[in-house]
Amino acid sequence: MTTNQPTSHTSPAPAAWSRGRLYRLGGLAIAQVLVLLGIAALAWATAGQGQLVQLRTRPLDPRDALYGDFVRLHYAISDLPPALWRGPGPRPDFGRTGQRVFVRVAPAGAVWAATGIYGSRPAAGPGPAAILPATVDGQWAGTVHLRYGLERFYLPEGTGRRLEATGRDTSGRLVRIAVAPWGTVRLLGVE
Amino acid sequence: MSRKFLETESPAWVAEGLITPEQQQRLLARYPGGETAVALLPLLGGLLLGLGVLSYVAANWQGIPEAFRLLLLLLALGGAYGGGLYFLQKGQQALGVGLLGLGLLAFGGGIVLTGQMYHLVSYDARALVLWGAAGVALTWLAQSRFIFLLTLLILCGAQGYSTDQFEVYSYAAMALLGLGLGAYWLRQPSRLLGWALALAWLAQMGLLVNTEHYPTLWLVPLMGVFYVAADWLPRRQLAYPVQLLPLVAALGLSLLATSTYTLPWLRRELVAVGSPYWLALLGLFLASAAGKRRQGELSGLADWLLVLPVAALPVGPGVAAFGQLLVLYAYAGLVLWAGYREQWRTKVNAGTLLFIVATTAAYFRLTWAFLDKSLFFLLGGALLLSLSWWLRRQGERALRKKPA
Repeated sequence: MTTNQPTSHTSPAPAAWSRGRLYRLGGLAIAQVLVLLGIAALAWATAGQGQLVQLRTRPLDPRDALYGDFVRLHYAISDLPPALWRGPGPRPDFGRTGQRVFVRVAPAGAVWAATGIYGSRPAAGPGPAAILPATVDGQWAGTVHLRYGLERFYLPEGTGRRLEATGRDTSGRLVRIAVAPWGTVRLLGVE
Repeated sequence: MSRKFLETESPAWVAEGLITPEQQQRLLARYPGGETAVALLPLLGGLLLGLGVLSYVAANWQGIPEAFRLLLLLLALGGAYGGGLYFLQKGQQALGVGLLGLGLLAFGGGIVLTGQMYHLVSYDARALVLWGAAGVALTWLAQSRFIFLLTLLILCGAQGYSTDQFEVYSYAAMALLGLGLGAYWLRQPSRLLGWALALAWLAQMGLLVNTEHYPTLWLVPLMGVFYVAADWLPRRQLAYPVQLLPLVAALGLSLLATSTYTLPWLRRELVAVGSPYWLALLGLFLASAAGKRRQGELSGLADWLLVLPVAALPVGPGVAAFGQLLVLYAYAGLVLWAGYREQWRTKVNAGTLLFIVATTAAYFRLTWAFLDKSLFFLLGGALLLSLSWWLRRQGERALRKKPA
């Protein structure tokens, strides 16, 4: 390939790559590296600083659970009675999907259970408790359905078979999550 | 101007004494050629290499320790961008830009894979939109058509994913495409980018109308935005190819209004869109007129005849359909007239084609019901053949009369 001489032509091809332009490009590349590092740092910090919470999943449907490289998790707190609404304001229409709510969970034995649904982030309150942000996924059969962004567990190599067997268990699995003081939530592992 | 054109034509210019041999050499040196085919190879090579590495790592991904996986992602990202900058600094444009594109792909892959690493589930297309935003910034900084097209695909993919998976229209993706890439196209217009952008814009608008359950007719002003943007391009030759897509769509719509079968549907749509639709069209018309005036091309305003609300007139369907036919003929006539006046063959041909289309529509409208079908096609064929022959002859004569 012949090397371009940037000075020999100006109009059809873009102008020569000035130092400033290369610096700006470098800045853009560094910003992208920082985005990835930021995602990772947030996850690490959440695991390190966060409150450890154990949730129980609903028994997994063996025909449905395994999606290639991840399992789909459905928690006991994914379906809650509307009566758990604690305000502020009157209970909203949970049939409208996409609303942002907050679910307060507190330990009930080894597993944590939901104690209230809030419209805005409440104080974690007395005793051990954690606040999980959630999105309303509709209401039917008398329960509010919620998504926490914790519904996928990407499988480490070779554990697919073992988890597939969860389809046969009837009590569900224990899932460890971390809730950071600044509100981010991270799934740590499935027992 | 293409290098090939210069190479074939310039010897004749020298022979006729238009330019000296020295000037010919300087002209040829100004447009160095032979690069494009070679320039494509590093791009394709970079893509293949990237795909190979990606599939190999992906196959073994979950077995690699977490910190090492992150390091690998950052190395791929930094390596591609670093390599790109290195080769750009050395003046190897194609290779450098190819590597920048690879860096952009690595960024997208990095977002997805980092998300998986920490089991993050997203219920919207924010991550993909962020990827597209990085692509827009890279397009502006690298000034590259390759990166432009790559970003276009990313933004369309993000929109498709958002509407398909979450049934949510991503206005951010639309804005990035329309404003980010659109502004770039206005600054650095080219035919290829214009076509790609027009198609992408049509896809985005189609998804918008579909996802938000707007009346389909809203596509007309939404595509009109693109048509008007092209009116503000610095060079008219670039505007025409990219205005073709909105024009063909508008023509299709007017043809629908010439049939009493589709007219009722159109009328329902017109009621559904209401007055905001007309206000939007009026605004676009004024913006288009201002742009065309700036170019001294006011005759092009005839294009707006295609969206005249003939179907909305409070008359019987037969009369409305007939009125629409008249509008089509008027449009064809105006395009022909402008073509002759400007001695512009493409426009004359377009006008001829429009005339034939209008005649076909009229023929369908007036004779379908009461002519025997075989006679219908026979007569119709003869009519169109003779019409095209006659129009062609007229066109040749008019263009020959005044040599440009």
